[in-house]
Amino acid sequence: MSTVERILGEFIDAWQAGERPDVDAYLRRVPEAQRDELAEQIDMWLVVAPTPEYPAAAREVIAAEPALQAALRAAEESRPAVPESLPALRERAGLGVRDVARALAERFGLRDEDRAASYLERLERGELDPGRLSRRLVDALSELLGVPRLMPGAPPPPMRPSQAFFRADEDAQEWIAQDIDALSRAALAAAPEPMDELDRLFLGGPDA
Amino acid sequence: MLLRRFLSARRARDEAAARAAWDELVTLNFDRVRAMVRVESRAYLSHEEQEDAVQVALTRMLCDLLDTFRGTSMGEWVQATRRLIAFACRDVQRRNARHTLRRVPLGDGEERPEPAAPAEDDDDDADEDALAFLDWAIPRLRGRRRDVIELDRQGVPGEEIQARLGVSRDVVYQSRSRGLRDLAKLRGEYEGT
Repeated sequence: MSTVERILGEFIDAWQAGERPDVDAYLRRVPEAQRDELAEQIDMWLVVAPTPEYPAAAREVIAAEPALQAALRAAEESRPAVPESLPALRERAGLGVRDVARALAERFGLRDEDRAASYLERLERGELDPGRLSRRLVDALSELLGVPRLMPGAPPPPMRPSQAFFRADEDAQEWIAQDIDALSRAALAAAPEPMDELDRLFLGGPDA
Repeated sequence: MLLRRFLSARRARDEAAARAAWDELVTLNFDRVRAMVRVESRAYLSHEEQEDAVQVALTRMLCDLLDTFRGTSMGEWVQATRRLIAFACRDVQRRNARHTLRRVPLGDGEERPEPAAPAEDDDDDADEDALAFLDWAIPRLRGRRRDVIELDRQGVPGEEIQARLGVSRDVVYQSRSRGLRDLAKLRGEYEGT
C-alpha cells in the first residue's frame, strides 16, 4: 500500500468519525512530490463524502468557529424582514397569544395582560406598524419564540411621489377646509392619555 | 435530513424554518467548506487568505445560495457549494492582488497575474450534472472499489466496512483510494463528453 493510500484512508476514517481532520496536516504527512495526488483524491472525497455525525463537543467547537460566526452575523444583518412570521413562529414554539402576553407582562412588569394580548393580536393581523415596535419588545419576542432576531414585518413602503401629485390635482379648497375642520376639533379635544409602558413597547418606536 | 427539512419548509413558505434549517446545514458542513477551500486554493492563497475565502464562501452560502439553490439532493448541494467556493477563492485572490498592486510602486516588484474568471454557466444545469455524474460514475467503478465507495458515501465507519466485506484495513484503504482516483478520471471523461 502506498503512502498516499494510507494517509487518504486515515483522513477518511477521521472524517467519518467526526474528528474534523485538517487537510493541511494530512498533506504535510506525504512527501511534497505526492501532495498533488493526495489533494486530488481528497478533493474527490469531499464531493462524495457524507456530512459526519459530529459528537456534541465537536458541534460546539464548529459553532464557535470565528469564520462561521462572522458569516452568520453578516447573513443575519443582510437578510430581509420576514413579514407575517409571528403567528407561524408562535405556533411552532407551541405558544398561544395569551402565553406570549403573560410572558411579556412578567418580563416588563405589565399589569394589563388583556391589553398586551390585544396588542399582540393586532400585530399578528398586520394592524400595527412594525417600525413602531420597541427594540426591547422585539428582543423579548425573539427570545420567547427561540429565533435569533425576529423581524415581525416590513415597514410600510414610502409614499410614491405620484400620490402627492395626484392629490394636488383634486379640488384643493374642499380638502383644505376638511383638514382645518379636523385640526380645530383636535385643538378643542382633551389631550390624549400619556403612553404607558405597554403603549411604549408597541407604539413608541425602536428606542422606547 | 437537514436539506429535506429546508426543502419542505421552503415549499410550505415558512421562511423562518427554512432559514434555520439552511443555517444548520451550512454549519454542519463547515469542515467540508474549509477543506474544499484548502484543496482548491492551496497553490495560490496564503493560509490567511484561505480563512478569508472560507468566510466569503460561508457568507455567500448563507445569503445567496439559500435563495438560488434549486436542487433536491445533497449531491447537488455539494456541487453548488464547490462551485461557489471556487468563485470565492478567485475573488479573494483578485481582491488581494489589487491591494498588493496598489501598495507596490510601478515597476517595482513582481506583479501577480489576474486570475482568469471561472467560466459562467447555468447553475441549475451544473447542479443536475453533479447528481447525474455520481449516478453515472459510481456504477462504473469496479467490484470492491465500488462497494467501498458506496459504503463510504453512506457514512459507514472503516472498521465496519472491513467487517462487512471481510477484508483488511489495507484493502479498504487501497480500494478507497483507487475508487476515488477512478472517479476523478471519470469526471474528466464525463465533463469532456
